[in-house]
Amino acid sequence: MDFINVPILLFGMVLSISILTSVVSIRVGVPLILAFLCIGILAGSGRIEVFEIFQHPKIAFFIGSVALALILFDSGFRTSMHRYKQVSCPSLILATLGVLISALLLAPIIRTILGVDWIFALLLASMVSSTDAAAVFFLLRSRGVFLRERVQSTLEIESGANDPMAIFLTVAFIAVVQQTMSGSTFNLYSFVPSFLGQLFIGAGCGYFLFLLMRLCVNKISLETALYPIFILGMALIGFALTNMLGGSGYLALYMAGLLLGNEKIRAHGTISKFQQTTTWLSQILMFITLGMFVDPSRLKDIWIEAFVIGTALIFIVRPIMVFALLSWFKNYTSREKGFISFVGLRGATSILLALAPIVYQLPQGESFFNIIFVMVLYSLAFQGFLITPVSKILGVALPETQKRPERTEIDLPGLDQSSLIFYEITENTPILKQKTIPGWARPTLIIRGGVAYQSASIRRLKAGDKVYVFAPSERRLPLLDQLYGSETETDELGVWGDFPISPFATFSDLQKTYGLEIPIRFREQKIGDLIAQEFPDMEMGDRLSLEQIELVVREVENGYPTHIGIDINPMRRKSFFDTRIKTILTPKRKKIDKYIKE
Amino acid sequence: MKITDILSKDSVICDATASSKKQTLEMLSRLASQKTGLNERTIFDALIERERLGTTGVGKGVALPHTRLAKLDRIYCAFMKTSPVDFEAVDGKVVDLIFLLLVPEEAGADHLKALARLSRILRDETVAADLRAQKTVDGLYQIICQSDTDDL
Repeated sequence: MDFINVPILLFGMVLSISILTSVVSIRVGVPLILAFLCIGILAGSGRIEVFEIFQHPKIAFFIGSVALALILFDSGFRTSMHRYKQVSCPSLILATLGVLISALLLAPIIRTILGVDWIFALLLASMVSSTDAAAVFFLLRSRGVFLRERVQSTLEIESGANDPMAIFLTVAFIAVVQQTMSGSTFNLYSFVPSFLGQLFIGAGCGYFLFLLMRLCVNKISLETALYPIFILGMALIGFALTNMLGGSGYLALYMAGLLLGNEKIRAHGTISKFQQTTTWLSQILMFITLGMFVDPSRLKDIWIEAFVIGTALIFIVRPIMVFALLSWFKNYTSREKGFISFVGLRGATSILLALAPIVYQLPQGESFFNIIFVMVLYSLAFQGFLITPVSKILGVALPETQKRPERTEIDLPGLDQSSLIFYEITENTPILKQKTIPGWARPTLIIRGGVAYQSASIRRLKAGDKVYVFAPSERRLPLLDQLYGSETETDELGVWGDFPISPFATFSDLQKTYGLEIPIRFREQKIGDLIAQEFPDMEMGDRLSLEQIELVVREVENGYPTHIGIDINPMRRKSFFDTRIKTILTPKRKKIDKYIKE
Repeated sequence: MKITDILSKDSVICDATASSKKQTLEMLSRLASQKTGLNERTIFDALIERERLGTTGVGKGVALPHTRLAKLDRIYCAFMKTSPVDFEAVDGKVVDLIFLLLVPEEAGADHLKALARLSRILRDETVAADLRAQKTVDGLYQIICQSDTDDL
């Protein structure tokens, strides 16, 4: 039975070693995928018979394509729509136009250095024109780099969405090479319909795939553990069919993932967890396979050229592209643009695309592959190592106190976005100052001195406690973060309103200062009194809406709001979080009440 | 409406020296009086009146004094970076970045948007840090204009 056991043994070893490397690589600061690539190179250079099957270009290309498709589906699934909306415009421009510009700027450099034809220079340039989602996500999330949300989202969405464009360019240029090789004249206009087809058929299929997945998951009752497999199967079907129809399967999967991930679907948590694992497995398999494909002894012929081109890409091409495109958007500082330029890590997509010329048997395919491979190694090592120092030098990193708390998604019938959040209580945690903890914020479980207690058996929280708080929906999270986060946490979403206001201020004071229309019967009432009256079981976070502004209970003592905030931009709350609200000026009442305007 | 419509460069003060909340409000009132033609005392009294309802020192070294005034013909904004002063801020910390906003009495809810915009700018800690690092009026003005974005 050795013919099974030896391969299984070797394969298992490669997998386990890859995972163990992660322990070291996180500490040293090398991107994990670089480690995977190196393990692939080692495994491949050992001339082990079992691995030789992977060294066949078509097989490597097949494994890589499937893995990339699944990674893109998951990266869409994980992108939250509200972040997407925030930065979709700059990110998508970087992901489309940016890729094209990168390729066009890099091509003359490649042509000069390698002395190849324009068309080959363009082909090579388009292979490295997209950034790698896996590398960018992993580095941003694991290296202790905490960025402002807008910068982080821009980078993540760019890297997730720019592969289809690079793939399209590469496929297009390969077609041109094939055409010119077969003697027929190259016709630029024939690409326009093909490009539009990739885009629109891809997007259309993605949307259709999303509808189908949502319908199936929500209508068909299955064992929970089976949903993720079902989704996986449908994703593969969608990928293949979209490609057959002339669309971009990668784009379709990314879109379907994005839409599905933000939808209330059954087993969302299970699917998400399963895909996390699938993504890791895909990455490991892809990088190891691609690593095995390279022949290290051949790299020395081209490494200087690759190094020069890589340097040009990192220091000239990408910065020009980023600064030029982001200058349309005023909300990036030059330091942020500098950082976005720096986080242009190339990765699996580039190597996978570099396989294509070999698969299509173009001349010089192998030396192109080697050049791209060295460029990717260089980009991963250089940019990966320096990402933390650069973020500090440019001052774009946030202090580490603002780490996001740990969240565990849980599947509960009827509650689609519920999660358990883990917080550590320190002396500065705001909740310790509260006399009463609101019902919605009470911990489900408290861990003190290594023992787990139920919430009811602990009278007061103290520093050193670890708590699990249940959040029935995502829209509760901003409030919980404010209560359990560190004291220095900025109230970015305005959970507590913009200004403090004395509970003894009257509504006519508000009228005077803010020009609000206040019904005559409230005019001389103190705002604290009215809030107490409207909320007999008042809790912090409760809001009284006066339509244009809202009053927020900041602290409660004996049923009276001792601290009140005034929120002058309630629209922000409406789009980000939920809390208990009572309105005293509904339009209906407006007709009955008599208003005074000064 | 943009911040640049209501804040002109000559209403930005860099590195003022003040010893108290009262003094900063006086300085801002004087500046506003020069630019708008309103009586300095009227502006100051109205600001103090607003502070009585609750401090506009919102924490982390930032204050946003604001009020509505009769006879004012436009929304007026000023910005001041000062030596740290006790502004009775919510977090008890001293204040060094101050936005002043004066609105005409008939401006209605429009001015709430302007106020929300200012509040939003200074809430951003990177922007606040950038402002603190500036040494010139031009530098301050440039940061403020840059951070005034519509999508936030």
